[in-house]
Amino acid sequence: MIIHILYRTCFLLMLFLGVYISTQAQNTGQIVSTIAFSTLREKAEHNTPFDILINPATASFFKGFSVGVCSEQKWGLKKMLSANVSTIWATKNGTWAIPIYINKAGSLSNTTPSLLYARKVSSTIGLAMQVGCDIQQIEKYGTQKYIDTKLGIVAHATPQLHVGVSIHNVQFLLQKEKLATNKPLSVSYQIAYEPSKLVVLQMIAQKQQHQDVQLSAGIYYRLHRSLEISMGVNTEGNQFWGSGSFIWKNVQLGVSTTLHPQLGITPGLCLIYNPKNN
Amino acid sequence: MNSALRVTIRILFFFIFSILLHKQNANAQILDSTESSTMEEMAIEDALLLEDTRLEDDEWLQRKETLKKNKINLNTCDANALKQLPLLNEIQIRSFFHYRSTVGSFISIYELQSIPYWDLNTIKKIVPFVDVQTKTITSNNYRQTLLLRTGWSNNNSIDSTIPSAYWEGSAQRVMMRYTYQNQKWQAGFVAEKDAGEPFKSTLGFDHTCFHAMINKLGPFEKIIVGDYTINAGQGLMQWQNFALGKGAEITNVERTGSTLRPYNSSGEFFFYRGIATQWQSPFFTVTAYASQRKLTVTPYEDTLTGKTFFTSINTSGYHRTTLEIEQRNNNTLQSGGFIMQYDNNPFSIGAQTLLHNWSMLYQPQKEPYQLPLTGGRRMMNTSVFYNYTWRNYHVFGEAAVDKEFNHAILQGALISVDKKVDISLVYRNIQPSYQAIFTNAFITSTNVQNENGLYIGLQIKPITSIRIVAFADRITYPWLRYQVDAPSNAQDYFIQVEYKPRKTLEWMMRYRKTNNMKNGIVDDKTRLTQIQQDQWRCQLSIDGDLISFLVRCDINQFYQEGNATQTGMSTFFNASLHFPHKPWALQTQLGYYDIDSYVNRIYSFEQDVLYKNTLTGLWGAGWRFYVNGKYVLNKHITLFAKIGSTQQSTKDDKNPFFRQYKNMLEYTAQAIFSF
Repeated sequence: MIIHILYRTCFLLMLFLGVYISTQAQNTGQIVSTIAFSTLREKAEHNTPFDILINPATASFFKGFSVGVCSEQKWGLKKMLSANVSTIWATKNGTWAIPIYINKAGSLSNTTPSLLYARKVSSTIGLAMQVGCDIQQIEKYGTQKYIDTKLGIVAHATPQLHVGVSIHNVQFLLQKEKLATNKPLSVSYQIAYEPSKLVVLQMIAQKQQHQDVQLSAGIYYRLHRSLEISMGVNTEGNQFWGSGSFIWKNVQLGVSTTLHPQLGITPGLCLIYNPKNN
Repeated sequence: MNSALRVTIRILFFFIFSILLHKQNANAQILDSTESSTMEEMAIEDALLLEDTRLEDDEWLQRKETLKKNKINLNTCDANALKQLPLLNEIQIRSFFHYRSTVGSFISIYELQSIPYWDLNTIKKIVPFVDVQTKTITSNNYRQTLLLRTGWSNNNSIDSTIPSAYWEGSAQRVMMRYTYQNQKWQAGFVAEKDAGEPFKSTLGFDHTCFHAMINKLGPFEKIIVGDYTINAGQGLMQWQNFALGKGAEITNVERTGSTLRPYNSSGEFFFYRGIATQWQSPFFTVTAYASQRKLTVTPYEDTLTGKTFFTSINTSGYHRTTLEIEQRNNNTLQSGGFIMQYDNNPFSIGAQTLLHNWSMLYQPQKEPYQLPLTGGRRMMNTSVFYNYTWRNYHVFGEAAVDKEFNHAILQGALISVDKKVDISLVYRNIQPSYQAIFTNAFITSTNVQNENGLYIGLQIKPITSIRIVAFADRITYPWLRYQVDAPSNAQDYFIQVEYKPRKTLEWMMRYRKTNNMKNGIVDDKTRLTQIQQDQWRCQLSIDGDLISFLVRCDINQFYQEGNATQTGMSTFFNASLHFPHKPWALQTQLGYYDIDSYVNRIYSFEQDVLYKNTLTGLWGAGWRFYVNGKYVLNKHITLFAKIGSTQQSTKDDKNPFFRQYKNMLEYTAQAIFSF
């Protein structure tokens, strides 16, 4: 029921933004979600080096409540769109979040609503677990559902240096039958360096089963109190990406773009609402 | 490769143990003017890899030697003086002047550490060329230098596609250079003959150049008669001197330096010959120049019209065979133009226009990749360029058009986001039909043509002893290229980590990955294929008081779709002996290489006699050895010599363990007389 309400909310927000909603799942929404990163950093107890889509354990150090929606039009094609909606709130006993990934590529659509729980195990280490359901739908063929899981750990090695590891679809290891249709296991290693409050440098190495290691590197720079820019490179598809984010009171609005050598530009849009400035 | 791998593993163990056994030196922040220039050599190597026709341009080396003897006075110098050092970026230069105007004159060179954006590595690089109190040479206090150099090699096929049996001249290389300099005047003369060139032309030498320059004459800042170079904007229209390219120096993406410089090198292409003047007021600089010089081109005759035309220019300057000698200087290029710059700190803007006129008609080949190009006797280019600095942001750019209004645009930015982090960005958009001659922009292609791209560079210095440099460059070629029969794209990724725990020990590791496209054969069909190249380099250098060591290991991998992966490795051990109170210094290198093919060749920048750049490209398998010596006979005469040997082996197909060795020898001898 909650998921259904959230899905509807997301749909309305998308219409408000003038962007199509669609599905597909795994790797989408990550570029625009980096815009949300600055808000998370602002509201975190420790400086938050990663987005929750990259490592759910990032939420361990989060304070308060935030809701955001991000969408990008894949490769400039109308029928390839992706979005993610995240609601995150911190309690005394840990942080809860509901990230929903939505993606559509032609007749294939994915929706992955998830529930995330993150908790500090010490003042510098956080753990998280995320469980969701990846609903894949192919027009005229039907629907298939998969379990989608994510485990993460983040450690603030020093005030400037942060490291993290996250494992996606760890249930693959428990599956007796290794079918090609099973969700692939993916491990991601993250490192972030924060020389000052204005700058964060981030590097992520991701190894997915049967795939080459993909590297992603980015820099986030706070130009002004209310303006943050970021840019980076992703070796997956040799993409360059960049984003700009404007923060006004409780609202953050961002735009992003990805440059792909063959497929061109992917524009993205993001809206985040933080009800409290704590 | 087994033996090669064993050697590599040993070297890697050596690296690891040396790091493990090493102890951090707390006194790392001691300035030393005898800082090793290994990183600078690598930057030059990176630049020359893109364009080896500039190998003979030793203008920067000459400038370095002059500046070492006649240091820049930091308390009186202007921005143009600091721009002579391509080691400083615009943010650092602006920061320097802001500091000097705020704090006052420098008391000590150590004070440079207080300037924002000036890190210790930068200071170490420029210390040999600057001082706070410098005695400059006056008009009565002149300096004359005469350089004589000769060299020979028994296997010139390394750097030549034409066998030496077809050469008209001897295999000796000969060069002579005379320079006179005082505060007011400068004059110079160069005569040079490459290997295989006969003594037939003017003065017996194949290439001669000369110049006379007068400084500060009436309203003129400089007047040069003879040979000179013009460097303006970002090199989209013209930049004739050497400039750094993509490499580990990510903050040097902007072209900076003097617009007008006298030319006194043995390179035979990138210069003008005629007269040039520069007028300067507090805010404006106007440079006007006119040139007429001869160039060598390959002529063709149109059988229908009977007209003679050319399709390409010989930029190498080699005139060794009968045909090359016949064609020598068969085309005249007349050039003229002016450059106007307005510079009011922190903003600078300029415009330039240039007209070339060929005596022979230029007509591009009718190959598909050259179809966008237009021919004619005249070429014209116009451009506007600017740079602006605001706080820690610096932006620069140039927009140029040719006579057909084809455009070339380059925009860049340099941002010091933190005192430990620098970013550089370069965007370029160059039409396939854009044409200019003496270009040297910060792009991937040799010619400024047919390239769009975005470059992002990053430099991080988390602690004093560590520097991490990385860049990513994404390139698209909207039109066909040589041996690329379709629009294509490329990516270039680079990361380098330097660790310098004390001033005498430096460890470096770099990785470069390049994706490119080229015609290839897959399943008996010719089509565009993906090329992937991976390059690893590991280097350790130890500087002692008497002896310095450098160990370098390179591993390359080259893969073209439809072909087997080609691998290659090389290891070099370098030792330098330098006795502080002795008149001589010695340097030697021993290296082993095993490289599958020419496409996977490994380049190595070698130290040579003073003012000589040597870039050795290695492939096959064998040993490389050289000894390089310097002897100061007295205060007027310095002698240099280098002897090198390459023992290249060829594999026997029947017995892969048996190899035939071919010995290649070369020597260079040089004498410098200074008065």
